[in-house]
Amino acid sequence: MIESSMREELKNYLLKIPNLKLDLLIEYWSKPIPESFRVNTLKLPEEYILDRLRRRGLIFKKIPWARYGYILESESELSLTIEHMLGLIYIQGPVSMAPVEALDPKPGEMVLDMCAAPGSKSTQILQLLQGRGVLVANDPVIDRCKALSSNLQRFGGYNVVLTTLDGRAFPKLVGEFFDKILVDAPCSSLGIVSKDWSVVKNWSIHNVIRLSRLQTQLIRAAFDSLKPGGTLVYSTCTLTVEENENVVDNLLRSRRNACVEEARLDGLRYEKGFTEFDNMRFNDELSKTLRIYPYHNSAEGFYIAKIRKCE
Amino acid sequence: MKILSDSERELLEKILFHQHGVKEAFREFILVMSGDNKVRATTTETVEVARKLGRVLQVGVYVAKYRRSKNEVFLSIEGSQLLNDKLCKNVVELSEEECLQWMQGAPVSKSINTGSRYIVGKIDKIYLGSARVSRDNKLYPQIAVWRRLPEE
Ligand SMILES: C[S@@+](CC[C@H](N)C(=O)[O-])C[C@H]1O[C@@H](n2cnc3c(N)ncnc32)[C@H](O)[C@@H]1O
Repeated sequence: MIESSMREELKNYLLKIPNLKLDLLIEYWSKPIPESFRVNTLKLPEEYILDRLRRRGLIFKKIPWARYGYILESESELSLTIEHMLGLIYIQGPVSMAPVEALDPKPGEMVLDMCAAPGSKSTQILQLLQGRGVLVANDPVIDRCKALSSNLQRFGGYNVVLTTLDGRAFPKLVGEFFDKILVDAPCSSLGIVSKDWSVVKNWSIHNVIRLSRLQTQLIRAAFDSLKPGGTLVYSTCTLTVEENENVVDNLLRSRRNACVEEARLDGLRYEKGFTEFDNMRFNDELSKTLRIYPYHNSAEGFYIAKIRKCE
Repeated sequence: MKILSDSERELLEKILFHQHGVKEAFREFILVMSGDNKVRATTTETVEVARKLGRVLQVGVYVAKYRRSKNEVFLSIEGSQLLNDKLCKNVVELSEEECLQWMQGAPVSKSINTGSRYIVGKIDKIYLGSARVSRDNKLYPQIAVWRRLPEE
């Protein structure tokens, strides 16, 4: 089904990606992503909430790379549970929990989630801040901010500001201000096709190049808004090199004090980022970034790069 | 962003003490008034950050609806959860079945004799926000429509 709706242009592009197992990718695109959730320890202790879910007959197992994250193993509509409505759990894909774990916000820090809507990662950051420090949850698309606002409310964090700025405006507004920044950038979404098949129908290299330009501007703005010694995580849920390694490489070329670090995520399977592709050649440091395909963890595909602003 | 004045805070505290026995409600927070009589709780540091930025849509978490003219306060789910066990008066324990009705936004029939027009619902350790009590002793939970569980 998916294969027939995939445009030739996309198929040819994917065939160029080294080591990508296209048959396997298409197979995993056709399967649903497993339901998973985080337990909201801002509201009640983890064991108490898990016990309530067990009493409902839910079976789940721990996600090794995400604190408080669980994959559901029994059939159930999590979104129809009282626990979801009360904000005791937050429904989020298993690999989508990895970027914030890589960022590792600590209580008391000043954190920016530059592209925040609908708020999965913002609520995860709030949880790790444990009520101390501040989160700026930002998204310029007002329509998407409605869901962001509801999700923040249900989660119950109080040390949060919701802004609707263009991410590129931050350096001018605040200067070197944040300890940690997440740029979970708008992208061509090839890692989450199983959620929305239209992604493969509408994909075009023209759009990828447009997004790559915006992503380069966003990552630069984020880097310039970091305090010296601060950390940023750049992530996308797509597989194209133009939106991933190329964007990080553009940052390394323009900011000498940008250093790539390896994100350590227990049990998460991935491939190393590329140092070359087609006729492009990137900084060797790019091999410290993470390329995660849907078939690696039977879940979403993502790209994650962790960058420090060296002093 | 309109921060609640000392006198407005005092009044809010008084109402919450009277309705639910809460002492010094939300003292650890800055309270901000947003549209529609809504009170939001946040921290001093968060307000300082918000002042540096433009295009602020909201700060903190919505904790209560506060109608000064009627001297009444309705706690949101999160408001009641932040106050937690400080709530010691007019708290009604619900069964799982009643909790489900409550979360669907449906009236819950329950014989209570608190004599108050406002109660907070609770199931085990979980607070569920405020309800208005009708003359015929039905509890009308004040749950935002987007927050309600669909009826089966
Ligand atoms: C992949 S989504 C973010 C998902 C979110 N981090 C989460 O986990 O729920 C990308 C977001 O970037 C936002 N965006 C688009 N252009 C932007 C810009 N110029 N500055 C900041 N955010 C932007 C989009 O509105 C979209 O909500």
